[in-house]
Amino acid sequence: MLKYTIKRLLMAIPVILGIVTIVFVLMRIFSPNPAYLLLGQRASAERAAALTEHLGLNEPIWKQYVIYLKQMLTGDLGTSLFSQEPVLKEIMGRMPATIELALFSVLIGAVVGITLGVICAVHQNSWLDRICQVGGLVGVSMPRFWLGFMLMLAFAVNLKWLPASGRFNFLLRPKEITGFYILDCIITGDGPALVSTLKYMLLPGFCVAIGSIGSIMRYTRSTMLETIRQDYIRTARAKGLGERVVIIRHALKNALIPVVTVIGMELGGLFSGSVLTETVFAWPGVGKYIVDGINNSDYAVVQGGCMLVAVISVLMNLLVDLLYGTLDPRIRY
Amino acid sequence: MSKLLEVNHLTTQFKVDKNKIIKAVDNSSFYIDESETLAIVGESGSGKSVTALSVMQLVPNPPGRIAGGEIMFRGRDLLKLSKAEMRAVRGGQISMIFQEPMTSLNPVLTIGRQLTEAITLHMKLSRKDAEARAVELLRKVQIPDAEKRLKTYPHQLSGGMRQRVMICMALSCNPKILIADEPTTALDVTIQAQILDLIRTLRDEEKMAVMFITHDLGVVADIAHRAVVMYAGSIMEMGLKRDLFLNPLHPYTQGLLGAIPRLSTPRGQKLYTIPGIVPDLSQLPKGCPFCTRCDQCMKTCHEQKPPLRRLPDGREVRCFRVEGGEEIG
Repeated sequence: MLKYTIKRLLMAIPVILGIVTIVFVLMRIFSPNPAYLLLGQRASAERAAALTEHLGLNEPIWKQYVIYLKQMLTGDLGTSLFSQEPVLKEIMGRMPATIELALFSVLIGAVVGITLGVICAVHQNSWLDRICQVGGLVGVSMPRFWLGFMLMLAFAVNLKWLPASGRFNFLLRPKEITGFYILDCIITGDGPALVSTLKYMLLPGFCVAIGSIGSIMRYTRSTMLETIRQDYIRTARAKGLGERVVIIRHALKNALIPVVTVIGMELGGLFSGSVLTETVFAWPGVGKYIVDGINNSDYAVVQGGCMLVAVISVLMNLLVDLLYGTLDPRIRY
Repeated sequence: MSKLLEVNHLTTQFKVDKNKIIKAVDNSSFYIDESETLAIVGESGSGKSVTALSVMQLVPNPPGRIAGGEIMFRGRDLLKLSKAEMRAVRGGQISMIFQEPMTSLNPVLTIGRQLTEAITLHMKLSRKDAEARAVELLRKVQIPDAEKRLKTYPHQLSGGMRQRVMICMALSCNPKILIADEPTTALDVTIQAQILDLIRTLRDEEKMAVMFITHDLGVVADIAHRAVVMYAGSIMEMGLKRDLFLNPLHPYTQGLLGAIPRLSTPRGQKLYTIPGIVPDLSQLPKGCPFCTRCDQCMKTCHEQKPPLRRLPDGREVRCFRVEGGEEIG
């Protein structure tokens, strides 16, 4: 298993290098010269040229690329042009917000999606099954940013049940220990802050989760339908086991194996998809950081942010594949 | 000997299309005595497996449905039991082994888990006692290293071993009847013989009745006391094994026996086959289901279905050419 893990990690290197290269090239092509953004539109041409020179942007693009790679190998992702802080430090500060949101929504997605998927499969072709199928399709195909605005409009603006954006209430700010606010609130035993933090998480979390619920439910349903027709399910029934035991112990455990892949892909997708949701809900995570970086032509921020998101996606996929081995005794690495 | 299981006028239907219903088992009656082995013989699609699944009430529903009849077991009609009462019978008093040992065990649960769950359920033993019993049973079906096997998964065992585990599972709660649905079909011949031996030994030790479903007349000769010959959902002939083999009355039984290749058959001579194929159950002939393939067919055979007759010596035959005895349906 260690050998397999190392092999997979080595295989991830070209993937990450590719992403870094693509982002690097795209930023040089499509982003305006940050010198003007820093100095303002009315800056004199001489000052702008001097700053461009100072930032090393006069060098040929391949030379800039080599310099960046060298820098990256030493663990330095560069410095943000605007905040003058190291990018790595800034990203690490924002990572917990993104991870927390992603885990929260994938948890909702998995619990609700698997439960509904099993119910639909057991009651195949019932009205409940049909409603869930249509609902799942809508959930998968709805654009998340649009859904985000609609949820905000309904629950924050009109009903005023939940806060519209941000991550915490200034009056009930959790004491920061790990950066994962829910965890922090639990560690400090701060009940009111926990409730408030959860409220902030509910809208963006649900907005992201609705797509996951749809795809996880549809996938669970189809693997469940396949599983409950297997011979070993008949064997389980022939033993006189109750229907609940047959479905949960015998069928679900088999049906979940492929579903885990989908959950893992969802989780990987959530980190990249967080760019939209975090922008809509002003969630102070890595996604919003990247978007701000793009708007500011902050090359180092965008490059570093994208690279870390890629690294996390790769790690999530690896984690899922390793989890496979513990679920399915036939797979051993 | 008293009748342990009595199936009367069992009819099991399948809905194949919107308005089309076929009878996989049509008005079939048979019985099994205590510690007797009854073989149910027939080609694929003759309704033998569905008969077995009907007794267990494991017919997939939909599309299947037990449409009529009664299944009397120790004085109770199984078809009238509640779901919970039937679950207590299933695996506890009547248990079943299946054709496909490769797919009949759950791939993600250990052998131990799959064995003990029925024991804890029906015999109300603790987990630990159930494990002890499982080990004892695994030894009984001649699986080496029984303790270690509890922790293994099905994919780590061969087909023959898996079928032993299935048998072990079926016997775990001392059932009165073991239903074996072609348990040796998927195994190669030497393993097949071992498994048959095992079933026979265990049957005699435990004094169980066995309902053995097979298409292999060699297996019938090996293990059965009596046999039922089914064709297209109907019982064609029933009798003691010796009577059936030595003096088959129904043309179908005669055909089946004639189709067994013999060492004495001269080289080069074509092997005997029953002409034609099993009819589609949705397009059965109006009269005798076998009339399209029968070499002794008469005019009446095409017009009406022959009734099943019970002859004075207890044999039952469904053929117009056999006379005497009483009509029983």
